Amino acid sequence: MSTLLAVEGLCLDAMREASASPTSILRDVSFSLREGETIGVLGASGSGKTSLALSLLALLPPGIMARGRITFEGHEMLTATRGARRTLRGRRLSMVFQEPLSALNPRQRVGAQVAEVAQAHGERNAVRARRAAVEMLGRVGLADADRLAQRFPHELAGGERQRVLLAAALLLDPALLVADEPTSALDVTVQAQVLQLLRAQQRERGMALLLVSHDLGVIATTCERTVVLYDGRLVEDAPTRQLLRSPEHAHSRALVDAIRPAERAE
Amino acid sequence: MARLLLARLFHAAVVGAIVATSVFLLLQFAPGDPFATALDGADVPSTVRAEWRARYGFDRPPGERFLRWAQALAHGELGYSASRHRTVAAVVADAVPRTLLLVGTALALGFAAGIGIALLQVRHHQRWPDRLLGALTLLGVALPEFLLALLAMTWLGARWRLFPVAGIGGLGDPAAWPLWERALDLLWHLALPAGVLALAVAARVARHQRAALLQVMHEDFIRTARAKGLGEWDVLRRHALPNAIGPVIALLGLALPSLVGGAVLIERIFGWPGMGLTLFDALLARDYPLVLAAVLMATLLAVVARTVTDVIADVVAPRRVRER
Repeated sequence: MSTLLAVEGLCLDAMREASASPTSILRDVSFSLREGETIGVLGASGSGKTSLALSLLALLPPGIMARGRITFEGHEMLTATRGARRTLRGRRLSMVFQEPLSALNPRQRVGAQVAEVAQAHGERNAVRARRAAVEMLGRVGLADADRLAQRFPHELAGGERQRVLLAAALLLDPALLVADEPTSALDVTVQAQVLQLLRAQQRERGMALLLVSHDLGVIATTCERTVVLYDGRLVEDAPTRQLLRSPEHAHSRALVDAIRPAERAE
Repeated sequence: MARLLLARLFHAAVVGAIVATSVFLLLQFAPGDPFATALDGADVPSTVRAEWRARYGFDRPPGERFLRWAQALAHGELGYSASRHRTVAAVVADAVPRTLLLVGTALALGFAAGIGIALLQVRHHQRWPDRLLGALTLLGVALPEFLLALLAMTWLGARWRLFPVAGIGGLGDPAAWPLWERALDLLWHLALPAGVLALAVAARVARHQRAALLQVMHEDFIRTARAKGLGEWDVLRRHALPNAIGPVIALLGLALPSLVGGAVLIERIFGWPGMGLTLFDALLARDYPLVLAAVLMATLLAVVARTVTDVIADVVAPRRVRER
């Protein structure tokens, strides 16, 4: 399988007007992802994992400077034109976010929010876009998708909202899905369901998945490979099974130990 | 919706009663009456003055006159305008549509232009189009309307002779004018007063709309929209604007009543014979029935404006209704 995404020497610095020296968010991060591969990005809050995820789609907020290279399907994401990035986003690489409620437009019906992905990428026929959206809402496990498409985000439950966002992200069958803490804001039981859906969709489509989480448990059940971020540096890059068995870096060890208190006691 | 309309109707009645009473009271403190200029000369015998005042009931105590006026109002009678020699109802019926035309045109143009300017500014945030338009809207807010009006009159009207500087047109025999020519003439006369009002409105709307849009641009769903591959214009139009239009609609509710009153100045400068000019002339002539009717009409328009704004807000922002 060929390389889908390559991150080479990525550095992110936050420019603050007050201080002359910028704050470093990510330092010299490199890793790559093959087609259809699942990778977990593990790190504590503040380790720079969300910034990493956003930089893959070139969605960093203004004021964050990026150096290095991010190559996705032959496109240089950091230097690509606005138009080139736009045609990739939502079509070849998609993203789902941590807070499903705030990530949805409160004034737009959820069906329209899914359908507009197709419309942004050349679907002129509004009826066809809508039909595709309703079908996709059904495929992410939402019952009565036709009626649900007419609702507003605040009328849905947390898990339903995240499914709507997932439907929008998967509508055009992307090659890579970036999921930034997709289950952290959900109830525990709903978390498991959404995670299961994510895994099922990934396998069904043979799509690559980059899952960002602070929870090794979530990553362990979903991703073949794991990279560990610690204080802006990539400190470990290993198959998930190997990481669980023999973590190399002290921080990885601490994370692994944290979910295995019983074994440690033995 | 029905409950809202009913509540507003009640609201209008209460406010109308309070406004009518207080205006009537205030007028009692003002010197003179409709006959002051015509009759109070040395050459008019006092018996004649008394007779005319008695004929129109001005010899009665204020309390009785108020009751009579209110009773007539309840029967739909607004009284007789001594300065115009017509019934007050006829004067108002002529003036109200003209004011609505002026203010309506100004608001429609002003809001469309203001929202457009704000979208353009946010699209090019902190680059030269934003800065240039920001400076212009600040100027528009700071310049008094009468100054704008005089500038427009001097240059567009007098120097370049593009537009008439006063009046409403349609002189001569209406039968000699085809309908479309009269309409065109009316619009031609409308250009300067409506344009000046619209500029003032646009500047204020643009500043409010820009601030509201910039606040929304930080929201997560804007990031989602970009992640979907939407272009910046679609992000602005489909996601930012619907969530940022609320404050500007509220501004419409505030602007409408003040414009009905604020148009007094513009109507006076451009000789536009609407409610503002009518009120102004009526005050000078001490034509009390006409003053009262004009003030009542302005109150009514204010309440109607608030109701219309609420309905618009409900349509544009459905969430508000559902949560209520």
